Amino acid sequence: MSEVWGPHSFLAYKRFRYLKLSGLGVAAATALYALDEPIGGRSGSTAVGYALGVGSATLILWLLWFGVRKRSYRYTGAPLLGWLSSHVYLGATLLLLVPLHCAFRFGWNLHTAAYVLMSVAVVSGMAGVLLYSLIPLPMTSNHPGQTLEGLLQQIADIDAEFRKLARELPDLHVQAVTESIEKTRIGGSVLRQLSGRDRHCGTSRALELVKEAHQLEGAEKEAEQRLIAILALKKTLLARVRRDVRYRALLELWLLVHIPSSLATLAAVAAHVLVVFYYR
Amino acid sequence: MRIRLTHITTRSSGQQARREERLELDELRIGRDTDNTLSLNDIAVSLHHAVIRQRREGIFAAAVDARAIRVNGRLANVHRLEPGDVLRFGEFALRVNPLEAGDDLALEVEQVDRRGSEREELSARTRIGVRSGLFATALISLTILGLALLLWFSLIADAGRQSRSVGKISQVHSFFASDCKKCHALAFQLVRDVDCVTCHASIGAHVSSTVHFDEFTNRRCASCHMEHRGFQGLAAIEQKACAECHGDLEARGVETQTGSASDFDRDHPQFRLSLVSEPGTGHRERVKWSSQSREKSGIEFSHLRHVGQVVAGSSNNKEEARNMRCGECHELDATGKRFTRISFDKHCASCHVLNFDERFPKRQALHGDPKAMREDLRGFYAVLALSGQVQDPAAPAIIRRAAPGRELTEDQRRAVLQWVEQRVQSTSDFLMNKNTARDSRAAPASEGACAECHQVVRAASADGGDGIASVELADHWLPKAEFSHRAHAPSPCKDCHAAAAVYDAGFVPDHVRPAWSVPHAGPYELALPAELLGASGKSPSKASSDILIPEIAECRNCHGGATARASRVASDCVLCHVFHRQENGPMRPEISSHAGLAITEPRSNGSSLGGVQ
Repeated sequence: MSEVWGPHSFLAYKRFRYLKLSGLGVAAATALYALDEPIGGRSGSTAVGYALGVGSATLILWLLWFGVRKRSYRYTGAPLLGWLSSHVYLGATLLLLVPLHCAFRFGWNLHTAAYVLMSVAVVSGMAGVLLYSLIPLPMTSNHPGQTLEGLLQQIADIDAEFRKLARELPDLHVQAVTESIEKTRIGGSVLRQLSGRDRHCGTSRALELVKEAHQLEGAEKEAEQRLIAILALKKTLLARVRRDVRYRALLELWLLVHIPSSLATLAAVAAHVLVVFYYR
Repeated sequence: MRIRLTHITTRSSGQQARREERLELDELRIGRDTDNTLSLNDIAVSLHHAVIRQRREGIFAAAVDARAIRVNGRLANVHRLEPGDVLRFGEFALRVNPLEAGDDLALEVEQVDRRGSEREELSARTRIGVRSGLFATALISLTILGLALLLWFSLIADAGRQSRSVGKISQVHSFFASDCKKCHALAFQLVRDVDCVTCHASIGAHVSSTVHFDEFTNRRCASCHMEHRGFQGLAAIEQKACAECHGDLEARGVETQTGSASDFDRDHPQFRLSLVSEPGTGHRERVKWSSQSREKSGIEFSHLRHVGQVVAGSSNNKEEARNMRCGECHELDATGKRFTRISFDKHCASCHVLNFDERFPKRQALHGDPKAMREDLRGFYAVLALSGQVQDPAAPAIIRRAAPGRELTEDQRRAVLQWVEQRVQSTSDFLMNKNTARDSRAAPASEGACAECHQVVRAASADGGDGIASVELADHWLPKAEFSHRAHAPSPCKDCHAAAAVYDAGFVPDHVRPAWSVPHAGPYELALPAELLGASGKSPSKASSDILIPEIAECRNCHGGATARASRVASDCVLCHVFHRQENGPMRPEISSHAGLAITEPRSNGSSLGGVQ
């Protein structure tokens, strides 16, 4: 496992201070819920229900504030690592705190919709934590000491070399080179980025074309050999680049769910509170 | 390893500059990072790209981070360097030059390429990241659209009313469930009692208006009646809601005679019976249940003498003779809770005949008011006398031989009246006073028939004649509780009223008993006195004053507290007690009258006078 679980990671921040705090909070809320036996049964409108509701709503606001804190570099309070640690652990408690608030009464209504949106936000956040713990290690070992930009530059360099080489080669090979240069795409649609490969990769086809071609003689043969070697190198580089693109997509994708669903949760919770107090 | 390293740089003017350095080291590290021996500032070069080392066989270049190095246009992991070799690192070329004396290796590094447009072209075919582009735009747009729809639907749209509801409306209110304002009349305000009372104006108060108890009076309807829970009825009345106050009324400063109770099984006082103490006044005495208690109903009645006895069927509708069972007299009323009033005509008259004259065995005296009875007799004898049908040898001759068309003289008239009055008096005495021990059922000898069941009071009637002591039968000994006899029907009467359901097989009335009613074929669900004695040590009831209603301990045989499990019925307060009692007037009179609503009169409290008619 990567550093995400390590002693200096945000998860282990201050010896799991926020994990303990969250556990304590959940235990306290559960005890409060279990010990309270109001007349008419537990619900969101009993004293304990209100308390858990107000607590959960405050927690949601505070979790959203993380989005502001994250972007504020002038902030001088607790370190961002601590904020992230508490954001993750306290956020996860909402999955239980809110059902306790409503006494597990769900229905096809606005109120449950708010919970569903919130759950999407929390679960996508958990997915983010999981991805951030799983991806960085294979991502680094995918191209050690090299950046994505470096890999792309190498590919561009190979393309330039192709153009020089092409002058010494017959038409079929030139066609293969052109195919490799012009039909090789990196990334693209979200699905293609996530797949980590390209079934219609120009370079793969170019390599097949060259291998199928007639064996050349003399100086041309040597150029052909070089072409095949560089095409193979480009193919390896492309595989690495595409893996990298896949990892990057995964690291971004959960945020693409997490942030909109978080903001939607804010709106839905506001609507929930409005409706609940409008119809008291 | 000694290395001569030549850097060749080309100025913008095209002039080349050479700079030589001599190095003596174990290995030459090449990479983008500045900690390399040869640092090549090109993004296409790995941080630690390759290393050149001397071995016994020669000098080798090997890949480090990069999986391969490019030597002379080919890929290699390890390559033995020979003069003339060219290694490529991004834009840089590293040439191996022929050795000069004293050196192990001569290298020449030069930036040979200036990048062209390939990188830009590749960029055009590259799209990395999911935060922009169609997917992200679509996702965010859909989220916004979906959210807007959700908010519009659940906050504004009429069709979305249900989605604002926090739970299912109770069945009883579901017919106007879509009209939120029916209950939620004012925004941001609690549902007011007035909105409940709009429909439920006549709902009874819990306590009489003379009782003031702030903690109770300040409660709202919605304190107990919780809507949006999908209940059948929305009163989620739990025992603890009652026990909150009733658990210890005294501690809460309530002045009441009601005993404190919090659970039927664990904490509930013995029943207090509302017994008739002064028949005819409607007055009830509330006394704690005791087998020693007696009720003064004013009537003589022995269950033992009646239960199980054969009664002749009425000849009119040719009913068969049958054994008297409880239901013979105790007929369930329409509610199934209690019984219809015992009536002489309906329940007694078929056996207790009130005939008084052997010549007219079917002529019965009026039951009820002795004065009315005597007036009826007076009329009967007067008609008899005036129509000359009197066969009494003691009667004046004019009565025995009445001739049509003859007018009575004043003396004769007086003699007739005297005779009539005499007959009325003697018949009244005959019926009301039991002089000799005779069985009243042996018609027509009804001598002392009234005294059989009633207490005769001398000269107490309005006409100066003998009267009957007032009779009053309670039809409810526990008016503060609800009890359904029908709900308990699976249990035979004797289970609770053992002393009343005793069958005296030894008692042989005058009537002929059908074969099926002889001993050991006793009427259904009645007990023989011996069985009763064996079971409980009680004695069969021989007097109407006996308390035949079971005590709380007997109820507890089947009914446990609210949390009873298994063999007993879980019984919370509302199983027997009703919260809203109409005899206390409307629950919210102040609101009901403000709203100008009709308030129904409080219903009689159910302890209306029973009585023998």
